[in-house]
Amino acid sequence: MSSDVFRDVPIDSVVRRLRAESKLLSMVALSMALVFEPTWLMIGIAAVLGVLMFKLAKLPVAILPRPPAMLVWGLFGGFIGASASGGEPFVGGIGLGGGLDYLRLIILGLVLLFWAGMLAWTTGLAELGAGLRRLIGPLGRLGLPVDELGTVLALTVRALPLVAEEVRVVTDVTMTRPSPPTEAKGPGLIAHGLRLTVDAAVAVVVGTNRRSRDLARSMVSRGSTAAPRPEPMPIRVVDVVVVVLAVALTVVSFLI
Amino acid sequence: MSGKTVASKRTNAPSTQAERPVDETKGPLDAAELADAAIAAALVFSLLAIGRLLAAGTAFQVLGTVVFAVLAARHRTRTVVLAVTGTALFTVLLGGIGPLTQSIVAGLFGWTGGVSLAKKRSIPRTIALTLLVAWPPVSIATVGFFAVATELRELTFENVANQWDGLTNIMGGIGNMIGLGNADRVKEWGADRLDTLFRWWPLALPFAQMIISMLYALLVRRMSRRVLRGVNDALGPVEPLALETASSLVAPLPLSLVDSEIRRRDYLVNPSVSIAVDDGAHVAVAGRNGAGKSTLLDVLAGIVPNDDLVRPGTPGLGHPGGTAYVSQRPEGQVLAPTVSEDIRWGAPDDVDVDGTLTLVGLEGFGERLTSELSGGELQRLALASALARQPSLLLADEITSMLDPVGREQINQLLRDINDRGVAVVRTSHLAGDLDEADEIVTIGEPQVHEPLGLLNTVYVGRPLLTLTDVSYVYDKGKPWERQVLVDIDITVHSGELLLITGSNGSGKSTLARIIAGLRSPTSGDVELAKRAPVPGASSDSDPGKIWRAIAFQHARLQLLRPTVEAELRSLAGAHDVNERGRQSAERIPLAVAALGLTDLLGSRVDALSGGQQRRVLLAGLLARGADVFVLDEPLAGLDDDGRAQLADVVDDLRRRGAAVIVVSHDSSWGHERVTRVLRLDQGRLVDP
Repeated sequence: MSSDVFRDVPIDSVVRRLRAESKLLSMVALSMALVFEPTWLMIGIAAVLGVLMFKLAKLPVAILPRPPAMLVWGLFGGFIGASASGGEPFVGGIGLGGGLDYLRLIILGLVLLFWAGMLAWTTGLAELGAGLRRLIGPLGRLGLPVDELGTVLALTVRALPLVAEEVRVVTDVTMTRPSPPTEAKGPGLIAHGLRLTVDAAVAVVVGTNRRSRDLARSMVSRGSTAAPRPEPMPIRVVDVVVVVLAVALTVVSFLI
Repeated sequence: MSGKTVASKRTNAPSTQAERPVDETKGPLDAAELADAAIAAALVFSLLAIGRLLAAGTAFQVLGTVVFAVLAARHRTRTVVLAVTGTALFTVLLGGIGPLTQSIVAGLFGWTGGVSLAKKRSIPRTIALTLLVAWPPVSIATVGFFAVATELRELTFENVANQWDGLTNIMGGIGNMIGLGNADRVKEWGADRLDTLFRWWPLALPFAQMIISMLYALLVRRMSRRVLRGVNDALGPVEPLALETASSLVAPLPLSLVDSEIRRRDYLVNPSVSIAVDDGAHVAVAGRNGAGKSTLLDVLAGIVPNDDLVRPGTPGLGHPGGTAYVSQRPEGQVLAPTVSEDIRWGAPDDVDVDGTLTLVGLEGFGERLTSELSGGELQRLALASALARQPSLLLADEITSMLDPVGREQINQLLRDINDRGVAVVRTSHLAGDLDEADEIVTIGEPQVHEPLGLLNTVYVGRPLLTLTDVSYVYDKGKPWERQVLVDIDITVHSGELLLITGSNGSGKSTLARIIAGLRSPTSGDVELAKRAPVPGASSDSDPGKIWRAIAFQHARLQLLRPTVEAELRSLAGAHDVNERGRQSAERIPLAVAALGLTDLLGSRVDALSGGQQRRVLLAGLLARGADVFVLDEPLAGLDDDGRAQLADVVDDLRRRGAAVIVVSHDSSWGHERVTRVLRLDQGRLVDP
């Protein structure tokens, strides 16, 4: 599910060739700007930059996920509720304030999600893991166990597709179970749902434990629990420029 | 065995045992803890990602909390901290601070919940711990965040006020229309309250969070307790898995083990095993399922301690010149995302990656992603990792059993080559062809009883049950990663038939299995289902409906959701339904239990059963449900000859009852005398077998 939406799109481009660290840092900076200054101006700038990046990355529009219908209707209901409150500004006697506030909050969420997608679509999971590990590397000087955390990150990259596969099988078989008792209504139905959730959770945790044992055995067979350090990469001008621009944008947004 | 020999062996023993750290409560994580932390991080990250996309973050956050609670109950705090930190770092991928917050909240509440459960704390003490540990950081962070993010705070508060305002406006409008008057009083009352709350938000928010924290802790405790019980039943206590420390005494060969008890923890696997391995030997270990073949290899590797083992030095598992180990599951041994990183994991710094890859026929694979390799390529990679350490002993546990015939032959050839280079090889296998590769075969436990499979008499291949017409399947249609896995498949399945669908890894077998079982709909083409045979005695005008389909996946445990065999059978069969169908299912359960020989196991816990028994429970449940078409995914994997014969009987029985059985397997060697048809898939198309 998640892996079907936020997955790497192997199309070579300027954005793709940027290093994972630059993209991670810029995204964190941009997210901070949006979260701390969620003005229409900032949202607009982030959206325009996003579209620009999308074009630069040569990504096809088809990769954009379609939101589930229930979500769209829920958002629409919220919009009606918020709009009915009226408020400034008035256009033709109708107060748009409530609706606009609501739209701002929703669009803010969408823009953040879109930027997360940009990162995922243009960067392989392996590269992201390596990028994160290079970023946390300097924290080792503070005495933090960065090598241990680095191994966890590397193994997590490895574990994500395995876990997704186990979750898929368990979801499939849970869905094909015969329906709940027909007399179950209200609380009974909720209890049934909860029980099924607990049962499915046990199956997933037990199933993924098999994977975990495999990984542990494999480490022991190789005589090492330390993931090889990601190879150091030269710093390029374009990466520096991107990060500096993103940070500058954030700082400016705070100052205005 | 006389006491004297034992004593003399014991005096030899210490120097030959791998040394392991004694203190397991302090210091860095061992291999088992690291792997569990990573798996938990991956699981929680996946849950949060799903929640993000479905805009149901909180529900999935609860599940993530349960995962961390199970981790916290079974491991020390350091493991949880690393898992949560890993998850939190990855949430950058999900955008915004929502998922980041969720991962940390899940970690805090998971830790308190898990620790309380592990220490059997009462509910009040659990809540107290939550209020001491989980609530303060959450509240402080929230207040701190909203104190800085003034704009977002006002926007959020305004939206809540707007929603109230709008709701009461709509209510008032309706009230006016039907003559109840407007809702101004309600509106003002609510607006005043909200106003007060917003003014006092630095107090109101933490207070609300305190209440929510307590409720959340209760929910997490309730769910985690049941999940934890299930998990503990299934897995037992955590087995620490430490590395063998590097030593100058690495010398695994020659080794000998004479008339020794093989134990795994306290469980006696085999009362008497003897084996001797000299430099450069090629030994195959044969025996039935459960005879202790894998445990024996673990003994030789030094993972399972055994005082009777005599060898000149330490096994040196994973160390240069020592012991290397390759196991059954190809994808289970990969640790890194790219081939070259995987080879470098734990290997000497000066390892020749390209040279090693060339040795196993993977030249030029260095930058390839491990997730894109086939099963055979993964096994070759595992062998390359082993060779990178220039071992003197290679242990290979059923390394061909998950491969198709071509891959199997390549791996066998490779093992011969490795042996020719002077590396001693000890392998296990249940396949006669593999065993013949070795210079010597050591059989442990009772020899297998090769009962000739009785030929199935009089199975009547009858009416068509299911017809696929021009079925194609395309993954991610319209996306750049679009991939067609099935092309114009036409199959008709008849009752009583045993259909074997074979093909190499990635040929589209599993997708076809899912389509036949009704778990996926084809992207084009038709699946036509026949009507069920009318139930004898039922009124003639009742519609029996379409046929029922069922699928048994390779790893039965994932499909068994209830704790005991009996509950599982009732649930699988749908016997709790109060309608006619449920009643019939309930009546069929005893028949299914007898047919699969489960009578003695009815009261057992699912997790106490072996893999083969779990598979039989699954089949019994599906049989009782009254399925007409059974899809069995790799039903033979990991079964010895006896297990295979037993399964053949079960399949015969299903067919006599008029069901169709479809076996999906890369193992085309099975049961030729009873298969009615073999279909071979190659790159999504049916080809001549």
